[in-house]
Amino acid sequence: MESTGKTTVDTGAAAEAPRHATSWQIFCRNKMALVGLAFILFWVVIALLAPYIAPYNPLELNFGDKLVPPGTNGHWLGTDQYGRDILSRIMYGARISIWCGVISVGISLVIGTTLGGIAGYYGGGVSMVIMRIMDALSAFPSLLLAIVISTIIGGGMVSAMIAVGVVSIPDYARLMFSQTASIRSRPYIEAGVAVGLKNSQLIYRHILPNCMSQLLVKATLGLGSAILTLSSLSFLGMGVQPPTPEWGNMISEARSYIISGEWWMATFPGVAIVTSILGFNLVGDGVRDILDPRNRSSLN
Amino acid sequence: MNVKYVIKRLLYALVAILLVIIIVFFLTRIMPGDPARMYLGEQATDEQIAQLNEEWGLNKPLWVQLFNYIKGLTQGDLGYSNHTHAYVVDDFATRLPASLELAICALGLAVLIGIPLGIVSATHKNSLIDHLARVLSMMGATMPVFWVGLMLIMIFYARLGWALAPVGRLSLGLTAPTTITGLYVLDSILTGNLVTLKDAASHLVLPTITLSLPSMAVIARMTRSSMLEVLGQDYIRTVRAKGMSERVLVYRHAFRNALIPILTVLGGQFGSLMGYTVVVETIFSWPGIGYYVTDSILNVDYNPVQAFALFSAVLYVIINLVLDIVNSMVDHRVKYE
Repeated sequence: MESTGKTTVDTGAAAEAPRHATSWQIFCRNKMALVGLAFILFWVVIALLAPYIAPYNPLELNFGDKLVPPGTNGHWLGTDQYGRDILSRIMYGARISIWCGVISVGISLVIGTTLGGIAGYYGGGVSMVIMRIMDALSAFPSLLLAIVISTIIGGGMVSAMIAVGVVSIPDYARLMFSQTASIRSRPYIEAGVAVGLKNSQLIYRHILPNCMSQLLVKATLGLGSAILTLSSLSFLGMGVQPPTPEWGNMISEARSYIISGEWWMATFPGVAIVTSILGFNLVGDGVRDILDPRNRSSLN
Repeated sequence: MNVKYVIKRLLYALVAILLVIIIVFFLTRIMPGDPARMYLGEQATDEQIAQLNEEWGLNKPLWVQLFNYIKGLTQGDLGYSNHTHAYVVDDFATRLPASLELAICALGLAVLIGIPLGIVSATHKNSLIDHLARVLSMMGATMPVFWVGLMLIMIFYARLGWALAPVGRLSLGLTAPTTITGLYVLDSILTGNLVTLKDAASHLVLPTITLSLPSMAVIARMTRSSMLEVLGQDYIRTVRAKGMSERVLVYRHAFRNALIPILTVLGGQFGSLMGYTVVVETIFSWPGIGYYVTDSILNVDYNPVQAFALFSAVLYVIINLVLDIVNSMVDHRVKYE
């Protein structure tokens, strides 16, 4: 029987840790989190520099070079049925995926935090109404609700972003609700009320900053799942529409070529999705380990 | 059993179901396009449309419409499908067994592999198998199901030729077994039809693996952390000090206590399974509800989509209600917060 401690952090590293390790030092000791950070940085750099480093125009048709395998005629990852360069399309796809992911998370973060904050701060009937609606919303399978909302708004990239954002609102609202409800009763908030601060000041200046770290973890993990849901929507034809390069719709287009042997069309965009989501998940887990006092005490 | 808790939990579930219905109702009402015009087609005159609106009650105040909508739901009215030209509830009935067969197999596989993997991972923390299990659960959580499905088809059907053509539940030329449960594998066993049994089971393999991966990842992860939590408790140390064998300790004492969070996670997995069904059935042309939903989207026919969303949300609430009540019977500390 080996160690059965509750901590998930490697205890070998803990022995070397200085007594008062900074958050960054703790983060750096988590190798998986560093790998995740590397993945995120990789994709962010690709997304930012896509117009400068992409070898081809992602929309340029070239029927002379259609369906060529990786490494042919300067197409490192091959081409699709229209002769478009897969590598360039993946690079431009990174812009779309990350950008859409950030906007979706932004939508759920802002709305969810506001609703959860109001529910937690005022309590009573207000919280009852808001939180029961959140419960009902989270009863829907997220992909399914995203499909329904996206169809209602009319399909396409913007609808997909809004749909994915709306679907995750309950997650942030729940987190903010429980945080606010516990902070609400602390002495410094009572002191604020006694001094005559307005409710909005108390919520935005004093309660919100205390929830920031938890929200940050949630948002990082949320970015991963937003990218996943967005690509699923695009795969089903409800999200980003071709010819715009997006990882999900690239895989959707590759469906017809799976059996005929053009394996590169579906494989590489999938690897892009997996590595980007893995990046956000690993970093999110790493940051959560830092914030978890149980892990922290074991390190210090 | 805490009766007060159960009653309170029942009431919350009823409110949740009512809210789910209201949400779906409003989503249908803000949908673009006039349902009467869509039903009658482009050539319809304004009078015909007005007449149909009158007939369907769409010119009544919103709250009356909501009331009628709920009344319709209690009678199994989920609307009419414009592309199959049948009632959605009938379409569901014919397609449900296919989805059910796939979902049962996927959830079964996820539990059968996820739980033992999580236990071994916890009892052998930081060993090779633990690392492998954690990588697997990480991958299961990050790989999009549509991609996993296509990769499996590419490798096991197109390359190796081990799998059957990824289309539907049976190979062409075979007739479905006599319907008893609607689950082909079970029906083949019951009717003693070995040929269809083998074919139906083979067709299930790839979609089952694809659909089970995300749940397997979550279950393994939850089992591991829940087991670690329990194994660190004082009473486990006491049991160990009394010289109990490790096997009895892990399975009889630790696992039982670790089961509650795992059960809760299982309830949550049901929801994501319903969502992924849409994708997996599409890839494998599996003639279930999920495939019907994507087919409806492509045909701009939204009633089935909403019906499926409503159906899974209500089922989700009910499953979680049952799980909560079971939990409260098993663990007397459970209280509603």
